[in-house]
Amino acid sequence: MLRSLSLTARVKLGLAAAGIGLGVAAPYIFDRFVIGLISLALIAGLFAQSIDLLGGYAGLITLGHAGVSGTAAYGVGYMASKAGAGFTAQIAVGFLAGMTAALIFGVMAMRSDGVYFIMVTLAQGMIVWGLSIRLFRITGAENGLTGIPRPPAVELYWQYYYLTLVVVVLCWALLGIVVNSPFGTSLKGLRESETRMRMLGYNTTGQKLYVFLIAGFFATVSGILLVYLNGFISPSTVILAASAIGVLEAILGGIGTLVGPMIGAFIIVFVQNVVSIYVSRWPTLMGTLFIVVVLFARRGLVGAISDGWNKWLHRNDAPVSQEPVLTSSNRTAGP
Amino acid sequence: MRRIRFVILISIMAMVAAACSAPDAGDDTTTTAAATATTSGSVDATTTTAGAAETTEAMAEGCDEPIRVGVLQPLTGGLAASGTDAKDGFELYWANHSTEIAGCTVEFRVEDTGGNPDTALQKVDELVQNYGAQIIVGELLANVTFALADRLKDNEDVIFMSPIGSADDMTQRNPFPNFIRAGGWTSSQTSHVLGQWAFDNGYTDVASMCTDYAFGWEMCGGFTQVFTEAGGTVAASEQLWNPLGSTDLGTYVTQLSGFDPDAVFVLQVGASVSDFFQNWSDFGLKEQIPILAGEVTADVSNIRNVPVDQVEGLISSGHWAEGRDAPETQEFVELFDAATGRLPSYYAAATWTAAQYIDETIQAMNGDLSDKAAALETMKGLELLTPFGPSVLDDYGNPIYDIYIRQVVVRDDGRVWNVVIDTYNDIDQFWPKSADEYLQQPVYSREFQGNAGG
Repeated sequence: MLRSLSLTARVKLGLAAAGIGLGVAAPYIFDRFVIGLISLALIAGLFAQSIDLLGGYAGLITLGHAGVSGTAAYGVGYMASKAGAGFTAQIAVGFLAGMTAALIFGVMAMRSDGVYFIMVTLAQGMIVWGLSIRLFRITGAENGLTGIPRPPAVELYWQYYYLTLVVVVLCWALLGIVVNSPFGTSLKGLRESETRMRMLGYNTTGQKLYVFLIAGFFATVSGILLVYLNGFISPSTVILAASAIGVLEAILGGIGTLVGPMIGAFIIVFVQNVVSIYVSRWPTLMGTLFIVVVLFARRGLVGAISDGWNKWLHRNDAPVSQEPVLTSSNRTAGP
Repeated sequence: MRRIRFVILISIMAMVAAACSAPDAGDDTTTTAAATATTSGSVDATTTTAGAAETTEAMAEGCDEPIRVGVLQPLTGGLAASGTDAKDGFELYWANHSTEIAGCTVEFRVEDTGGNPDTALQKVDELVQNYGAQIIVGELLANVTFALADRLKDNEDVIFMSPIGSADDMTQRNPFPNFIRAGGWTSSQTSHVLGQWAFDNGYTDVASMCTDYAFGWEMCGGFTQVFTEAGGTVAASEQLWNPLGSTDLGTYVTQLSGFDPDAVFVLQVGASVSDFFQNWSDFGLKEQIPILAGEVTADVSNIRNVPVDQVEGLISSGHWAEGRDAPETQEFVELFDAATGRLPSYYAAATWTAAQYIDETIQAMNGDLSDKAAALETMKGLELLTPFGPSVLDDYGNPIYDIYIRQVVVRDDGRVWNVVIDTYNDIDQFWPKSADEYLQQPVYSREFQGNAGG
């Protein structure tokens, strides 16, 4: 069966297997610090993937997505820290809060597009931040909420890491199903030309709401995972920079792919937490990385790698006279 | 592609904006970090000073392992200048004192949090597990300090010291067992005193203008409660709250002048400080209405960026006064000035004092910190003479200090600093109430300012 696949597909399959294998083996190889980092990066990656579903696939770039994941995290935090509820209630309220935010934001944003969509979502994120520093009885204001223990079954760091790994891989698979479904294809149509999609009879407003809700679901999951990882939530989780970092992770790794945002998240989390131990000017390093990627690898690292791979595959082919044209079909590469 | 570029631009602008308005405890945004950024992010203090050749005493048991201290501060982002002051203060202490104490070597590492709780939580894991830190000296932002305290609360092998993060509840209604605020303060501790001083000096009707977040609420509440309970008036309608990070305060300033108060209590942080003073003098109010400033607003890290004539004579209260005429303060001020070319902010004094507490605790414990509970008790029992003045700790681990009423004065070299014009001795975080009485009331918020006039 393996022989029937193309070389590219086999390499992808091999990489996926290696990635999952490494993920499972990681707690036996690395110490607690690195496992904590990988957990954080997986969660950030899921968050970036949900941004990419909106930005990369549907062409709806959001700068307020941390408002959705943060609302979910505050839901959990409030139930744990202030209401003293059980884990089921915590997670249920977290989900409800996150999805409610996604629904409200989706309804508010569904009639706009392009730059206007960016501005509407930006405002939404700022509203959540503004509430988080003002509603001190619910959010603890600037001090945040402490005292959010993990469920006993996943209390230890490696137990929680495995939970994170399983949830993120599951969500990744679900996202794969979404983007490869007819609905996912219609999202790409939305990105390329909303007018034409409307001409074809699509209800583009409804489409935007659906995709916002789906992306909101995955952001909610990432928010709940994050609050239990840190045992803490504060306005820093919902500031504009948190949303922007998610967008940058997606662009760095390769927008319009699912593996790209995950790679981008791993790079940024490791630069922030590991490189910064050795390099005091690490923000400069990160800025340079962004500039290099935007200048020389417009489709992100994944795009650059897949271009290089294709070039290598076809190295012996007769030279093609013209440059490949950047069309909608080859703009989104990768899984 | 154009849209993506637009988003990147917006994102970068947003991050710069967010960094500049980073909350809490005052950041001096214009001081260049370049002057001090030559030191790398992590430093092992193996330098021992000549002259301080403190020989190992025969009775000392000695240590198999060095005693390691992890310091977490924001060295990048909008709070970098303040965080760098904090780092410099800590390093300066060990450059001037022996790291060989009671047969043990003290080592430390300074890590950058970027002011981000996520990063701080990862770094503290790294410091505790990989570096083997037994003492963590914490951050300057309230939320990061809370996050760290919560992460470390079950770890019996670590002492968490917070010399800067000043959220009231950390040593009041939400204490952590291994948390100690040696070298630190609670936000309302210093403004309580200013409320009493204002009433004693004949002010009866005061308006306020504070930044609208937890730190501003606590500073303003501390002033309002003590001042109104003493007999003064702060009308609730004359308490203005400007958003965090706002930099055009003209409308607020005109409203204040309309209230026609005896004085105005002001608490601004970061870039809002210079904007406030600019507006205050532009509207010609400096000669008409006296300002009573919260500690951070008049901290040298903020006022050194303001034109001298706008702040000269400014009254404030604080646990730190770099112009205090006492050898323990001036010795530190001169050392810091010589090393960095800046007058030390309270951030620097705080981490120096934290280092002093670590030094004295190790001496008192004779180098054996294995029992952290005993070490904490020892630290709480110390009576030290610090750059802040005499310092002892209360049962909650918060210092009892002399609190100073300070006035901004121009030095001979043209720089400004705060000198002491009045001193209130032995002020704890609950003053003038008792702990039991004080803890009955909720923490200060915009809704609860403790206003006796209602």
